[in-house]
Amino acid sequence: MSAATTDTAIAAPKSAPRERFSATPYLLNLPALLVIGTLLLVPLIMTLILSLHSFGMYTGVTDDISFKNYAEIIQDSYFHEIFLRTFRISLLTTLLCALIGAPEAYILHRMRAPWRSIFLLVMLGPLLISVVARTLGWAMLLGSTGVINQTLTGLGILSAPVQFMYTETGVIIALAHVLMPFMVISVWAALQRLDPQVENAAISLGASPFTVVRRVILPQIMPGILSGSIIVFALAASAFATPAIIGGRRLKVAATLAYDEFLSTLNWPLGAAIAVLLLVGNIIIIVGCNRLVERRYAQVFQ
Amino acid sequence: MSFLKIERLTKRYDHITAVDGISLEIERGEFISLLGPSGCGKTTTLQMIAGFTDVTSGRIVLDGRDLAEVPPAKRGLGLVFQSYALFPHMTVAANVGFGLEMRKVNRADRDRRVAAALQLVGLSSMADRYPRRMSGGQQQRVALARALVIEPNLLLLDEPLSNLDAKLRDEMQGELRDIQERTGLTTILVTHDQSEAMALSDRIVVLNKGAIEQVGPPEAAYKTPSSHFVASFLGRTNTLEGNREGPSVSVKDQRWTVGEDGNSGPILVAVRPERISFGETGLKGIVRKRVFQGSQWFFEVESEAGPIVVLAPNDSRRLPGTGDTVCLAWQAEDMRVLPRDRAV
Amino acid sequence: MNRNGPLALAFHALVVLFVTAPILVVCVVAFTSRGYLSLPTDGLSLRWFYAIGDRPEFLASFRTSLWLAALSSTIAVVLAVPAALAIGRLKFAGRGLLLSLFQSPLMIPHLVLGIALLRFFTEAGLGISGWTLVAGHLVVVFPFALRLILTTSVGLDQQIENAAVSLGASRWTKFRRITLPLILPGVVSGWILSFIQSFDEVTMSVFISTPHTTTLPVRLFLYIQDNIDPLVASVSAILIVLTVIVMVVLDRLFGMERLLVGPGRS
Repeated sequence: MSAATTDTAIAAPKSAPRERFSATPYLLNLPALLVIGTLLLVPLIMTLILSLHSFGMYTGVTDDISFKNYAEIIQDSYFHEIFLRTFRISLLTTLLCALIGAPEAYILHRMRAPWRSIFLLVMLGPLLISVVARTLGWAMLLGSTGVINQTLTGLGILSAPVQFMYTETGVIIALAHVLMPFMVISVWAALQRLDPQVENAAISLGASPFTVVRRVILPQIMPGILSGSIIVFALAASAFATPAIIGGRRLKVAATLAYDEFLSTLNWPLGAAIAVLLLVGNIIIIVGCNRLVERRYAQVFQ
Repeated sequence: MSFLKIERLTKRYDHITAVDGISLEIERGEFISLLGPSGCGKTTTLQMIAGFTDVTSGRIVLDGRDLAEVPPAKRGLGLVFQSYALFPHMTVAANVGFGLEMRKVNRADRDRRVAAALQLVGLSSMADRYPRRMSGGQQQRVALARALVIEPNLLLLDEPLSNLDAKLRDEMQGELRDIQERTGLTTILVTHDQSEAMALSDRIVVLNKGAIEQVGPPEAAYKTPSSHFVASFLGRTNTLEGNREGPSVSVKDQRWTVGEDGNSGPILVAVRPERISFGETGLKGIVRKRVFQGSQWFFEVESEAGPIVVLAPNDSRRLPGTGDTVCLAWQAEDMRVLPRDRAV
Repeated sequence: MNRNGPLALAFHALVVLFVTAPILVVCVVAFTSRGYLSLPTDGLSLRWFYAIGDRPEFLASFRTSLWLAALSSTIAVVLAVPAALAIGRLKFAGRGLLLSLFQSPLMIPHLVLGIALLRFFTEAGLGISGWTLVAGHLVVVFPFALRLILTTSVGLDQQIENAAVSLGASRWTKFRRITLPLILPGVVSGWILSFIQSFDEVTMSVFISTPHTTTLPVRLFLYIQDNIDPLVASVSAILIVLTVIVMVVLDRLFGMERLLVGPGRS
C-alpha cells in the first residue's frame, strides 16, 4: 500500500536566518540522495526509454526509438476499454469511499473517550493488514458460494446466487474497503483542525444538527474530503493486487494489463508504455488536483 | 586590559543588520546587562559571544584570546538559555554533570562537584529527578547549576527569568545576584525587562536597532538618560515639548533654569512620573483618571502640554480626585533636556 | 462533545461491519474442517493450520519477508536520520526539491516501480536477487521513515543542542548523547511503519522476486491466482493475527493516530 498522506510539506525552520554557505546540509542529505536518486530516477528514465523501443515475437526487444507503442494504445479499442474501465472503477471507488469515509470520520470525531480511539483503530488498523489477506476476505464473501450469496439464498431473498467475482462491482467494493482508511485519515485530520466551539456557536444561534453539518462542518472538512479523494483515486487507478484477485484474468485494468504484458506476453516495451501512462496520469491527478484544491481553499488553510 | 573586549561587532543577514558595530569593554567580575526591546540585537550579540552565530565583522577578545579561533565547544562559557534547554532524557544530576563528563573529569570528582553545584542552587534533594517533572523555577536552577559547575570564565544569561511568574522572578533575581557575588563570575545578562537589568547589574548597556544607546550604572542611566529612547525604555517617563533660551528652559508658561548653557530652540523635556508633585503653582491640567496601586497612586492628567502621568506616594497627604484641576510642578534637576530631533 | 444520534450509530455499525467482515471471514474460514472454502459449521478444526507445515515454501517466504522488512527499514532509517536533521532544521537552497524527491515514491504506483526496477536491474547486469528486493523496498519505505523522523526533528529545540556544545560536546558526542535520544521516538516509529509497509508490499515485489526470494504476500498472491482453498485462509489468518498484535502494541506505545495521521493538536 502506498502513501498515508502526500501533503507532508514541512515548513522551513523559522529561526536561524540564512547563514553564509554551509556544506553541512548537503553532506547530510548526500547518502539518501545517492541511494534514492539512483534507485528511483535512473530506473524511471530507463523505463521511459524502454517504452520507446519495439518488440517482435522473434526479435525480442529492439533498440529503435519510436512512439509505436503509444500509438498502438491510443488506436486500439481494446486498450481504450481497459483504461476507461480503470477510470470508471477508480471514480466509483472514490465516490464510495467519500460517502462512507467522511460521515464515518465525523461520527468517530463525535464519539467519547474510549470508543473514539478504539473505533479509530478499527478503521485505520486494516491499513496495516496485508492487501492480499484483505482482498482474500472479499473473495470469500463475494464468491458464488461465498458467505453473502449463501446467506441471501438461505434466507430466500435470492433464488440464484449473484455473481460478484470477476465483476466491476466486486472490484469496486473490495477496493473501497482497501482504500477507505486513507479517506478516514484525511477527513479526520481536517476535523482535528476544527474549533470545537464553532459547532456550539452555530447551535446557540439556533441551527439544527443537520444545518450545522451542512453549513458549518462540511465546508470546513471539504479540503480533507477532496485531498482524501485524490489519494484514493490515485491509489485505485494504480491498484494491482485487488483487481487481479477479484477481477481475475478477464476483467483487466491498466495495472493488471501492464503486468500481463511484462510477465506473460513478455512485450516489455508495451508494458513499459502502459506503466509510463499510468505514472503520468497519476502525477497529473495528484499534483493537478492538489493545486486546484489548495487554490480553491486557500483561505481555509490559512 | 579589560577582561572581555568587543570591537565593532557587526552581524548582517541578507537584508537586515542585526548588530551594527558594537564596541564594549567588560571588567573581570562585572555583571553587565544588555537591555533593549526585541529585535535590538541583544540576543544576536550573546549568540556571537557564545559562538552559535557567525560574526560578520569585528572582534571578540576574551582574556586576551580572540574567540574567532575558538570553536563554541571549546570556549568554556557558561550559558543559561531562555527555554533552559535542559536535556529532557537525563536526570538533574546527569544534566549538571554533562559538562564535566565532556571535560573527562573522573567519576568521584564529578559527583562531588555536581553535588556542590546543586547545593549552591538549593536542589540537592532533586538530583535523580527528570526536568519534565520540575517547576519552571527548579528547571531554571538546574540550568544555572549546569552552567556554573564547569567553572566558566564567563556566564551568559539569555532572558533567564522571562518564563517565571512575577514572585518567583523577584526571588530568583536575588539568588542570581547572590550567586554571582559569591562566585565573582563575570556575567552578561540579556533582558528586555528594565527592572531586572537595574536590580541585577553593575552596568547597563541599552541597545536599540543593533547599536548601543547608552552604557552606565543603572542609577545614572535612569537619572540621566542620554536619549529619548533610553528615557522611555528605562522606566516610565513623560516627554514634553519645550523651548530653550540659553540656560533657561520653558514648557508652556513654566520656566526653569538649568545649570549649563545650550543652543536655543525647540527641545524635549523628560520628567519621571514620581518626580512630579501637585502644588499651588505649575503646569495646569485636569485629572482624567486615578488608579490605586498599593504603595502609590497613579494619575493621568490632561495638561496644557499634553497628557502627563504622575505617581504619588500613598502617604497622609491629600490627593486630587478625578476631574479636579491641578497644577503640576517639578524641580529643574528632576528633568532631562533632550534634543528634539532624536525623538523616536 | 455532542453525542451521535441513533441514525449515526446505525450507520457506524454498518461501516464497522463492512470494514471488519472480510477480515473476520478469513479468520473464521481458516478453521473449517472441509476440503474447500466454507464456514466451519460443523465444529472448529485446526486441519488447515497443520497443512501449512506441509508447505515449507510458506515458512521460507515468511522468513524472507521478515528479513527483507528488517533490512530495508534499517537502511531507510540510517539514511533518513541525517537527511531529516538537515531538512527539518536547516535552511538551504534545494531543500524543497530534495524533500519532494524523497517523498516522490509515495506518488509513483508500485507497479511502475516494479517494472522500472526490473528493467534497471536486468540492464545493469545485476540480475534479480534478494539484494535487489532490499533495494526496491528501501525506495518504497524511505518516505515513511523520513516523514516520522522529520516530525520529531522539526520539533527539536535547537537550544538544547547548543547547550550541549557550550558545555564542550563535540559534534559526534552531541549527536550520540543528545540529538539521537531526543529523536528516538520518531526513529523507532519510522522503523516500525517502514517494516510494516515492506512486509505488506506485494505489487512491486511481484516483479523483482525470484523463486528463492519470494515474499509471503507474493507467495500468497501467486497461490491465489491458481486456486483459493482454506490453506490461504489459514496463512492469512496467522498474518492478520500477528498484525493485530503489532497494531495493539503500537497503539499502546505511540498511538495509532500519531503514526498514521501525523502529530495532532494534543
